[in-house]
Amino acid sequence: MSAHMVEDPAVRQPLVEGGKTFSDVTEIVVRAAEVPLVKTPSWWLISLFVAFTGFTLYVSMVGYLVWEGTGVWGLNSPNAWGWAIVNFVWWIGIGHAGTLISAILFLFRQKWRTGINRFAETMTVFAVCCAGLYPIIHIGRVWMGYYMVPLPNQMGMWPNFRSPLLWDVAAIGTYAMVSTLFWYMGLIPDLATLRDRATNKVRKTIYGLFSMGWRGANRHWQHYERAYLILAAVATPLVVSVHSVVSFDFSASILPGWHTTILPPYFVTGAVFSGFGLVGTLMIIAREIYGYKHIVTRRHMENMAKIMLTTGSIVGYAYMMELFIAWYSANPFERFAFWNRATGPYWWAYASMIICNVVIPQLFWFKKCRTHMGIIFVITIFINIGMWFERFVIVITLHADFLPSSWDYYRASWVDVCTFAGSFGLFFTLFLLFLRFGPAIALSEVKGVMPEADPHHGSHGGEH
Amino acid sequence: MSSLNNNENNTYGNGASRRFFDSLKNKGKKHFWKSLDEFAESPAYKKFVKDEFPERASELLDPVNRRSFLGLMASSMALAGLSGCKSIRRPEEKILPYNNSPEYLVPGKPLNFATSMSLGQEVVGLVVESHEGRPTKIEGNALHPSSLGAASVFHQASLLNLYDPERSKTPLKQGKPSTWGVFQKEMELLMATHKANAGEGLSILSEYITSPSLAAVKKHMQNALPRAKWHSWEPVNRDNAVKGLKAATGQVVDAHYNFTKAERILAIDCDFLSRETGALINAKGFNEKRDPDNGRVNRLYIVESDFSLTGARADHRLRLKPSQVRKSLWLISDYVFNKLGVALPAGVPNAFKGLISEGAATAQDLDCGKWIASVCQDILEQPQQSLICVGKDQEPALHVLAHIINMALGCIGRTVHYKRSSTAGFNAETAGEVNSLELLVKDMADEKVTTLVMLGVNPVYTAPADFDFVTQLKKVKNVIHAGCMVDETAELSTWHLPKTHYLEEWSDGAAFNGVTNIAQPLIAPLYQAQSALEILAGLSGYPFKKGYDIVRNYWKSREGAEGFDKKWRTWIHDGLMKGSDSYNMAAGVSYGTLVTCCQTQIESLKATKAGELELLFKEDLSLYDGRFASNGWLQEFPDPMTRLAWDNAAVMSLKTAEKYGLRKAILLKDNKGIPLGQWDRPVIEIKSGDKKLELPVSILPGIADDTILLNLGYGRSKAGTIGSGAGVNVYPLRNSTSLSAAYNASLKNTGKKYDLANVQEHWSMEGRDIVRVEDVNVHHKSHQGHGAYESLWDEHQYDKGQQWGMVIDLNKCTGCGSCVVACQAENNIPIVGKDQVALNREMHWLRIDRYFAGTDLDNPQVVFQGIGCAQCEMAPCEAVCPVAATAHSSDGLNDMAYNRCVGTRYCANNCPYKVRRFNYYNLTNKYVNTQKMAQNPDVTVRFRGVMEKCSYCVQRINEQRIAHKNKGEEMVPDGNIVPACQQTCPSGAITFGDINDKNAKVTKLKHNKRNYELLAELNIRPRTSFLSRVTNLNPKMAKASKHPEKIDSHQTGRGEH
Repeated sequence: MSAHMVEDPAVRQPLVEGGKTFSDVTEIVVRAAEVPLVKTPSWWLISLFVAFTGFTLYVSMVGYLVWEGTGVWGLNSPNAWGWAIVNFVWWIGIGHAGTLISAILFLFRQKWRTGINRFAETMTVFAVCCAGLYPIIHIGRVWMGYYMVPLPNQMGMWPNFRSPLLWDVAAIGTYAMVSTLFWYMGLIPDLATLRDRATNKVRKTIYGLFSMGWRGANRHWQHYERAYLILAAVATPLVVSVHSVVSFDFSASILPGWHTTILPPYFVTGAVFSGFGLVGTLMIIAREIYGYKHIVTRRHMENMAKIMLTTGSIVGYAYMMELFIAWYSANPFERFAFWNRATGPYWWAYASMIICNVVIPQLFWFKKCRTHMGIIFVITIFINIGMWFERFVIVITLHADFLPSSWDYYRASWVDVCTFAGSFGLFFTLFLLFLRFGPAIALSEVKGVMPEADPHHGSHGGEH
Repeated sequence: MSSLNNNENNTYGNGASRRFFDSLKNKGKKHFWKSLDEFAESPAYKKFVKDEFPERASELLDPVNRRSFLGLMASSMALAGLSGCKSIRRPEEKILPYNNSPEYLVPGKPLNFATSMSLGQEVVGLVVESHEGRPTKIEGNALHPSSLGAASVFHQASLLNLYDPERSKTPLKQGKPSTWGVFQKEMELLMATHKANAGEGLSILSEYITSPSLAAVKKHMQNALPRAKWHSWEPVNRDNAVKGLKAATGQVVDAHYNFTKAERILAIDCDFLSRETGALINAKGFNEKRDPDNGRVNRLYIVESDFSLTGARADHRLRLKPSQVRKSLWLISDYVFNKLGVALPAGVPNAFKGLISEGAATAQDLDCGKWIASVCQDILEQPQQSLICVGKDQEPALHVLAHIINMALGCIGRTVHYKRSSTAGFNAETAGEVNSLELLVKDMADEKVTTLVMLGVNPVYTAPADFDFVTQLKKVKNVIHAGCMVDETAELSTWHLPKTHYLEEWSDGAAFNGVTNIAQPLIAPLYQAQSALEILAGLSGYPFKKGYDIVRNYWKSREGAEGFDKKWRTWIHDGLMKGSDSYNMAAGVSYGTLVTCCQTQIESLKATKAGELELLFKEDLSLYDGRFASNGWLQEFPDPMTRLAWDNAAVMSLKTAEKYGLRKAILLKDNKGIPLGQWDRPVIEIKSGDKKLELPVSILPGIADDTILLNLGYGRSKAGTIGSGAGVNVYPLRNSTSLSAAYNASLKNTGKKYDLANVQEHWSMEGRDIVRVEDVNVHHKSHQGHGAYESLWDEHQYDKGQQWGMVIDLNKCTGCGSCVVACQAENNIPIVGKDQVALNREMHWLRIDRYFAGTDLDNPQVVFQGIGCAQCEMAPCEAVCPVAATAHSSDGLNDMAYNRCVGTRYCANNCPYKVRRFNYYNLTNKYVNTQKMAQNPDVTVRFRGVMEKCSYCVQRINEQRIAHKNKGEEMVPDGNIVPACQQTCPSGAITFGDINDKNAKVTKLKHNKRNYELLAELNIRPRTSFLSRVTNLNPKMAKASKHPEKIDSHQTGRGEH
């Protein structure tokens, strides 16, 4: 196998292996969606049951929170933000891989992206759902949340455009909208395939409705390609902007440890890092279960591992750099904040962050680790955990700021923990439903990068 | 007239022809019409209207339409079901306007009335703000010499006791609700039997009598029932001082200090800034003399076992165990009279020097000769301008010695005055409170008491443990208890009577300095309560029954009927009788008694074997002796030193904790002084005599080693939902012989854990420039040198109109916390409870930070810093609020719009002072009606989910602004606006005013060279700035301690807890 991995610069390794034809690919991908309801695999039912239980937990925790007040969380006087914001940033970061893969890699003509982009985009949309709910539920008066939206009103009262939180609302709103559009648009040809293959009226109607009359006509494809390109161009700056804006929540404040210019690039890289982490985790599971191994090949996974190694190292550099700048700034508050992060009462969070994000991904220097699914899986799990700790470390810098009199420890309450666990329920409920009823791989795009799609197919040495 | 015309028009219109043109004549009918058809109400138009909304219009008109029938049925059924529900029908409640409005009452405008509060042995004149008949805020009476406008935390918070929903509401007979009528009938029979035998078997136990009228009723009763016995009991009392001074001078007097004339002060366990009588005026006088801008700065030495607020202000502090403190004054006397050879005062023969040597000989275990020598030399450099004061907990002999030294130094009449309250004589009959209670207990034990009337006291909780009060109480047939709450004593009483709160009753007061006043009620009793005066008058057959009549007639008989009405009105208006404090008692020496007193103590010193561990009992700075246990404001008011709320603890030094292996258990909870949020502290078992008690441990650096400080007042079993079970009751360890200290105790670790709620865990300033301390003897550069920090943009110039600012003088702040409670009362700040305090979610808008400084963790310096919203000109909170709920006003205030706030809490994160408070829960929606009455109507009561913070009392600013604007004045003169914190501060540490006014006091202070802005380098331009604290170290002793500028260095500053 490894012999195949060495690329001849002239002849690229096909992205779909095993000599699969177009119809094989279609079969592999839509098989899961076409299983009759009565024959739904039991692993799926069990997983959905677990995920839905988690979702129910989420709903009840949010209900409890709204009923009782934010006091049910572990927040306190210096730590006015806690797990809710940690989780918000974490989920938003998870959502980052989608846009990166769909938009940036598309613009850079990274064709290998086709194998994983649907997965990543789907994850993005659902992760943004999970993330977007946190800022709403974390406020003290949820029912007044619309004050944060610039709605015309009789008071002539606008929100405060100077506030990073308002930028946040705009950034996340835009991101959610664009990534949903992107995802849905890409789905249309594949939904049409499902519609065309549907054997009963119900399926035909539903898929027909969502495929919006796609006939695969030349005009359709032309418009589609153009729209896809435009959306990719629109979404590309978002990859950078969303997490930069999220980082402004911290960097635009005056607190030691938050008020640093490094935060925007640091956040964006971290987001890509964590996004690839979770895509990797889920992809490895899906390709085992659904037999996508020929579509999502080892090469795909290796490429992802390389990106994780790169971004992980950038993040590691950022950690070192902020320590250096804190020291170099000679600002005693700044120095204390960073020293306290590493050696203070939350040293364990800082250590987890460094180990999971910087140390462990270094294994990806070794080809064996990059190509071994088990190792990749374990490392991606570490990355997911490590990135959560990174956000935790940043947010909880609050616990010791300027006046030592107000320093206090923050500890999450059981409601914090259950809400976070519940948000996985929300995510996986949506994700499992999509896996069961939608095309989990971008069919048309995969086919587009298969050798058969090349007009010069068969004539070796054709340009790629 | 016009309505008549309209009627005519209508009639004409209805009766008119329907023909189109006829109806057009009908012009007065409608003013607007859409068409001529409508104007004429033509049938075609009507049909058009009907058909335009065919679904609904015709349905309602058609009586037999099935759908409408069913619909109406359904809705009427629904309404029938809901008619029982109050939410649908507006309740029929008649409201009436004032037919004859009370005089001066303008709805919305508060009125202020003078009254007074008696606490322990002290009476303080107060002014109470009343909104439409509801007292809402208590302030000190500036005219009253024991207040001078200031009020303590107890006075401020006593308002909440008035509105306590768990107050006693009806008389209880054997614990079951009864009525006053039944009580009176029973009492008639009972008192008849007592009258028959001249009061035999009748005993009365009252609090310390501070009311001349009550004294008169007592006298009347003693005349009518000569064999009845009267006792009084204050668990925290001045017996020692009174006894000592009586021994020394032969008179019943109390010491009254004039700190404004004292250059050198030596305090022996004398917490004159908080626990002693006259603390409010002491704080004022002391700080006047400690102002470096106002002449020479005094120097304070203190010898103490605990770490009191006075100790925190001391320049030099000597930590000694309680058994050593009681000897220390012998050493000092020995040094002054024997070593330095100062002449003994007139009346004390030289033979006394021998006694002094004998006393000093008992103190050989004290290793503080150098300290004492330096102090004595320093004091002797300023004779007549020095002052030696001894705390009320110290034995009489120490008061004798202090008197002799003060006399020898010529301080009497200069820095020390002896005064006497007009009720002092009534209380001194039984030689002190403990003695008085002991006599009663003896009588009870001998079954000589058949009827015991207890007024306002709670001896079941507070009596010394060795009296075994409960057992003896069971021997009494009729126990009548009057109190504001159904407390521990009420539970064991035959009859419990609801006693009025002091704001509900007529009374009068005699302050310790002789000032008398009339205390008027602010509100009629909320429940069926009577005052102590009325209850006693009822029992004793006093000619007057109503409180008003009793007080008025007493004073009428005393002052004469002539011109009495006018006098009475003046007294009530002023809140005091002017001129009643003028006399100082002549202070002589009564040698015979003082020698006996001293000899007794020397015997005791010789006989006492000091143990390994000593216990120290002090009244709590928030609950006093326990009487405020049901007061939520005070329970949540953190101890200024330990910063514990809702609990007391076994407070000990680091060394003591280490010695008993407890330090590690506590330190493990922290990481280098940064709290780990685990509040469980080891629980120890303290054994003293044959009594054992389990308490959690709290470490307070600076307390004497091998000493455990135990605060009284906690662990009440019957103090309502607020007070019951909060903390541990330490009275069981307190015997009549060890009221202030027990010298032989032991402890062991139980291995148990207990959660303590501490509002400030971190000890140190981390070497940061937070509280500046400088010494007057060291030359200092001006702090103003920094110059303005530059902005990246054009800043808003606050140069127009009045701009509010504040200066807090850290050199005046004693850390007492009156401002915190005053702020709580003024601004409707809710309490959150212990679990929430443990989560650091307390709501205090103004807090007092306490830091330890210095290089010696065993004897550190303590500094306080009151901090509320600083109303920064470039407020970091404002920029980050997404909904603009916090914004700047034109007069420089950082305003909160509660109804705009959605609660993102971003502002709180971005506040460098962390003064913003968030309503994590709905803290106010469960208020019952009486609690609602306590709220200040000028301040919004906040809902959950919103942020709140200090507003500089914007309601007070606006009240004055409006008043002056109405008078056509643009500017409010300086001093007219006084925030609640400034108003109540005994030391005058807080100054508020217009910083644009060059002549305003606040502007002048801002130009003081001690002025600095906290975290100025952030360039947030806080409007509140601080004046640095000043020490006046004895240059000869300063070497031993560290250089003040090096205080709190990086290496040592870290606190450990």
